[in-house]
Amino acid sequence: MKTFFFFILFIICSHTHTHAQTTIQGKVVDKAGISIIGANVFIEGSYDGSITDLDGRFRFQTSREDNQVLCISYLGYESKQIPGEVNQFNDLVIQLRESSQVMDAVEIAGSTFKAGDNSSLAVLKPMDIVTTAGSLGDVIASFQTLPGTQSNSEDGRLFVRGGDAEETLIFIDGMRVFAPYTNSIVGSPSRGRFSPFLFQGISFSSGGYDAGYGQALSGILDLKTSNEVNQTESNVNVMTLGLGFGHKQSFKNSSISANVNYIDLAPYNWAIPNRVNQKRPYHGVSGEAVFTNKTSHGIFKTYVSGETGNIRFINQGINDESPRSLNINNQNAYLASSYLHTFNDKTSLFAGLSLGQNQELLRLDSTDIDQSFKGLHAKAQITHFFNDHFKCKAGIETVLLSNDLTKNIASIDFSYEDDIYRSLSAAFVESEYFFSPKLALKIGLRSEYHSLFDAFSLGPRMTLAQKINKQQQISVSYGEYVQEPAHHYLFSSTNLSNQKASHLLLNYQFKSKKHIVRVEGYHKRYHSLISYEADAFTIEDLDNNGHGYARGIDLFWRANDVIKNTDCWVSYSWLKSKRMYKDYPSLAMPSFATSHNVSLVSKTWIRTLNTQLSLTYTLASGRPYENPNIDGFMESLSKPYQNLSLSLAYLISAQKILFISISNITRVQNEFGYTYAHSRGTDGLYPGQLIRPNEDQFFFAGFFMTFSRDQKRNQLDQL
Amino acid sequence: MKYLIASYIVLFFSFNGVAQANYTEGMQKALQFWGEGKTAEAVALFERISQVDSEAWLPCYYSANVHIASSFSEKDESLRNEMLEQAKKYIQIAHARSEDNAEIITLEGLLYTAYVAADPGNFAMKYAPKIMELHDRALSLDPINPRALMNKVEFEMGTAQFFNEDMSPYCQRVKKILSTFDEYESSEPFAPRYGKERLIQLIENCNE
Repeated sequence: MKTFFFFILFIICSHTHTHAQTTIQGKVVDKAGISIIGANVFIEGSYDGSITDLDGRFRFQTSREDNQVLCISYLGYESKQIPGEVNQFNDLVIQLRESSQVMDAVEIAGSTFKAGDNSSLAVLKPMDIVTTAGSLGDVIASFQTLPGTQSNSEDGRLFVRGGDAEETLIFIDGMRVFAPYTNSIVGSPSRGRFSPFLFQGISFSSGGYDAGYGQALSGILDLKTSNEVNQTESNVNVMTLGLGFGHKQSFKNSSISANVNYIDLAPYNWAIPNRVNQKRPYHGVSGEAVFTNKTSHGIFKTYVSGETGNIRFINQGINDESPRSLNINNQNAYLASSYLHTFNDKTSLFAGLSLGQNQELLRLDSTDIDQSFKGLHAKAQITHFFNDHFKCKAGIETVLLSNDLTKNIASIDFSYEDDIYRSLSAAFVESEYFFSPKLALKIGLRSEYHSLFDAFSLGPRMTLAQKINKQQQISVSYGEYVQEPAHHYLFSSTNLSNQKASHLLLNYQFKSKKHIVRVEGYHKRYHSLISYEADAFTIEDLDNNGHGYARGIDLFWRANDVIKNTDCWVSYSWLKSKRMYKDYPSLAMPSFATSHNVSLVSKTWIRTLNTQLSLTYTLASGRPYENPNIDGFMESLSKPYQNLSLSLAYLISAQKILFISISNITRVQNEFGYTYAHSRGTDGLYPGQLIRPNEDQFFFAGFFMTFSRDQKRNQLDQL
Repeated sequence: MKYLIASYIVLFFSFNGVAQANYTEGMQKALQFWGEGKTAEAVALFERISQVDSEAWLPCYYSANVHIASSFSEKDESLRNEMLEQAKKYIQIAHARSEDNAEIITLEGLLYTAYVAADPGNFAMKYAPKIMELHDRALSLDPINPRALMNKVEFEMGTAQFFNEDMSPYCQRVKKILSTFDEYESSEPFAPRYGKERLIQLIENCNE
């Protein structure tokens, strides 16, 4: 029996060790036939293999027989699997393709500016959003220092390339935000509702965006919530404007971060009065939370926010006989939920839902106006990588929108109510193809149906990008876009349709370690814009016969550390835009457009003081306005706009930061043109009223403190 | 019948034994390559071992480790990024093969430290809390892991240096860690043992 036992053992051992050895050899080259040194070549599922030598050659022996798979892998190249008979793996010449995933591949994101993420497209670093002087942590305000935006500092919203603020849509994780801006009174800028520290990346496109986005004529701002929270911590903020409290908690596969802010401008307005007679300056409570949960194959994210605020003031416009009191109550709730499921390396599925509700209660003397709004956006999208060179995505989405308007005038017992409901359905496909890592094409098509207009639209999108060398690339993009008219027009007329725009862009980019340069020329055509006849009180004869154009050149240059410890960027936009829309009697430049816009931003870290000093200078040429006392239309131009802002972030310790920000240090008296009375005065002229910002200068101070287990984290990236 | 069972057992163990021998031999050779500075050979062999032994976390761990270590000296940005991407991929595989493993979590901390070292302006604020959290998690799983202890204090020293803080408390901590390198024992063959030289260097820096 012992003999038998050893016999078996002998058989087995000898069997495993007496395999015939086959020699495998060959050469690995790239597309140009140049040897690849150090590529890993091996038989799948075995240790048998080697790496290529200085001539790209490999040679090794294997005990495997029959059909096997030969694997070749090398950093920066696509891996290759070659099935076949072992004894045929001889004198092979294997060509590897450069992977399009590597950083050096051409970028086909059109004219997108990215901020905060690791992407090679990022032009703004995570901290930039929050430390740009004058932005006061407002996501929107920091993007106003990028080219393609027009300074409308009394408004605060994003005006992109000759488009008005409504033409730029804001998204969170690809889902539509319905009321992105806070309420403000005329002359005070509104702010984005989002606190920047909940988002890890933001992409801003001023034209030529892809087929996944619809219902925006001019621009897209997409905010991506953070995928994870890294540390459990709490923070407390004491500011000249109010108080804030935040908490982040991380669990094994999920995390939650939330913040609550109470803002009250009363003490500030008492200390530094402004031009508006505010009976009760803005005060309100807002809260936000992000929940993320990671599973082995997917990531689920939910963002919720809510705000309730009130403001009461007295105002006398040029057409008002006596001062009027205005009370505004605003309630806003929003939710965006999304799930991304990755089936394997090649296929992923995205499903998202967003819901928004906004109510604005206005009391103007004895008139009550209730404007409320409900919106829903549902979206599903599948992305498939056929290989490293070819990617396709397809999706469907639905947006349901409902606006309600109620008016009650108590003094004359008048009541009016209207509502408007519509659904917008869309389907889109888009594919990206890399002819080589240096040349790529993106083609997309979006089809939309609008229930109110009973109309289909078809929007093609295209980008062709070519890398010139390691640092430079050029791209050309074209896209057609539609957007429904502002909802108040929908109340007035039933026979309206989508407004339309087409974008043609030519983009050049240069990127090195210390410099980023971008130049983009664009031509945008508008048609089917809303036009109407109007007198002082009513508008009528609404139709889609308006048209216009915007063309210009945007320049962006960012220099990192060229001056020691200093980052700076310069944006310049030249814009020529004219429109024949609304009640314009002729083609004219609209009042929100500025021909020249310059922004200079610098940030210096002063080591000895543990302080970051940031300066922002904005210069914009005058904005056109219509003066009825002079011949012509939109013939007058306001004074140029100037603003130099400064902010200081002083790190008292790793957990305590003092932040001070002052806008318009030089106290330039900016003006934005005039509004005129509807009727002539005694001198036969229409009396005018100068439009000025409510305050020339804004001062902000805040003390931020973090409590965490290891006491190392601070809030500098959250300011 | 008895024979049959016995022969099955023998068959099973001998095959297993051969596989085990291959693994041991392969790991020894790969580590030897790395020790000799032949990183391409080392990575290639770790890659092969990791796809044969689909349960073993160590080949993935070392593959990631070689990539991270090489990234520190790599000047070319795109190549460096790709090394770190590869390292990230192998760390993920390692995590899947061995959950809640303090060594892998510590290595992940080192991965993000490499990002910070490469571009502090971009990544310091972003990854600092993540790095601290990873070190804390590693230490909660394995409180005397010398590499976790060392990487944590080394990262804290960097932060303290930035804020011009007093380094002496950190230096005291560094010295205390030295003994853990000798005391720490792992039953697993090829488990990481390195790091002592680096710690000695840190102590020397403190004494300057």
